[in-house]
Amino acid sequence: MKLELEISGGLAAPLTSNRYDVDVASLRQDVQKQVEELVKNLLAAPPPTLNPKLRDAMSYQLTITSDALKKTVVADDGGVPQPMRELIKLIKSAGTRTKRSQ
Amino acid sequence: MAHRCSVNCIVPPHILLKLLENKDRKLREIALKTLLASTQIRAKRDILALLPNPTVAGEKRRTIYDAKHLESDPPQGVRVRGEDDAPISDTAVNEAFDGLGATYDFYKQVFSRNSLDGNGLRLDGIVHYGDGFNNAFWDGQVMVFGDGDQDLFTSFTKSIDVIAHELTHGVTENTAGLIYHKQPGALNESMSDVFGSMVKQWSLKQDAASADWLIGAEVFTPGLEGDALRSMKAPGTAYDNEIIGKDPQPDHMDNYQNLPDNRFGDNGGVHTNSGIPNHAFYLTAVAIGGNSWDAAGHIWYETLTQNTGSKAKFQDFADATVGVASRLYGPSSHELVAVRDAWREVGIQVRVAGSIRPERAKPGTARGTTKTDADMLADLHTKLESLAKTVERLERKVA
Repeated sequence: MKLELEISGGLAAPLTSNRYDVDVASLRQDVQKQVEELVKNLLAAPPPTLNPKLRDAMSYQLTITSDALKKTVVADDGGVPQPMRELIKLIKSAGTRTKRSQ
Repeated sequence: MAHRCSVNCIVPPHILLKLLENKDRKLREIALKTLLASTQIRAKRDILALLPNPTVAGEKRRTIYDAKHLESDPPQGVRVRGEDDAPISDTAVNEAFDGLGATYDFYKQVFSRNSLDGNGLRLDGIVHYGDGFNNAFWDGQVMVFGDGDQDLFTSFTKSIDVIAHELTHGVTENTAGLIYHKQPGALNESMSDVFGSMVKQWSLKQDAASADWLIGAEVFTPGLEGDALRSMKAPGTAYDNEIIGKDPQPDHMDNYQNLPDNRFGDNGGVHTNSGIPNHAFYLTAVAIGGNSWDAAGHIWYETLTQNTGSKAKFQDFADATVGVASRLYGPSSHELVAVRDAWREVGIQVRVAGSIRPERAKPGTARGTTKTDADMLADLHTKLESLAKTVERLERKVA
């Protein structure tokens, strides 16, 4: 399973916009299990609600790719589901970062 | 708007919903009680927002909430300081409180505007949002501050212009209603920077010539090389280093960035292209001289609140500023020449001098106009219906 995270927007948009990739197979066994559980919970939950009145919020696009599926979940600050928040934290610490060119 | 709840609201709704399925009846009852309380608070907030005068005119009402490093949907926390409370030991709380106050006072004393909606709207802020959260944002009702990761950013409450920037999104939303895409979106961002910078200068009693014209000069960690998030005086020069790259803001239409109009292109580069109108305001204020919030500020304020439509582009806004300058100071005034020359310097030739564009702020939100009673009753009816349905659904679930 591969996870791709794209972060954009925010008060400091050009500074905080980044893309991260992580190959789940490269993580420790216990972390792999944790990721699988979080992905399962995220995909089982209703999609995040997007608030059109948000200003300066950061957006998060998480793409989950495996042999069986390719799913993308998008959320904004103030509306990121708990499993997605944990996945974002994990990807930011374990993944490879590429600076997005705007 | 009395909202943002006590510690119960820290428990995420999805956990409370899960508890409704618990075998233990007592737990189910506690969860239902908490969800009902939360629903009532949200409904009360929505209903109060529909009322024309939620606070006494001229009253400043600030409340700061502590998210305790959690994120929730919608953002919320524990109430830690209200309008009549003394400062507490938490610096971020006091900075947010003071920043909200300075912004309220600025709009009231300089433009006779009573809060963001012109009608005494309460000012609510949430601090310590998330874990190392590198942002501050406006959610349409409340402003939210992160503490920063302490690697690149410190607390976003440290810059008064950042606080005023976020609150000004509320002013824009209640007046011109500039959409958050491409040029109107960049104008929306620019209004927040322009008025944010003016609040800082007004608080420091600085004139245009001596101000630094930086946005977020205090939010970088000391070890990070860079002046600020943005520079209105010299867009594109706020930072340039290996860790965070180079400030991409243009200062001229020749360098306008055509970015994708989606959330991953920052809605067409709203935080990038705002450099152009930002610089026009800086040039105007410096050319007129004295305090930025006097002539230049009044021209921009009147343009934003009375002469700008939701889809205004840079050209429309520039034309309107010249029209307003003509009306306020005369068709051959020093102020009008300063405005026209400033726009020319950033690559925009004003089309019609001396007239105000006919496109007005959206009905029902511009200064001096309100929703009709029938509209408000209809909105209220919808909200109450929705509340009744939610309560019914919760009752069914716990039974």
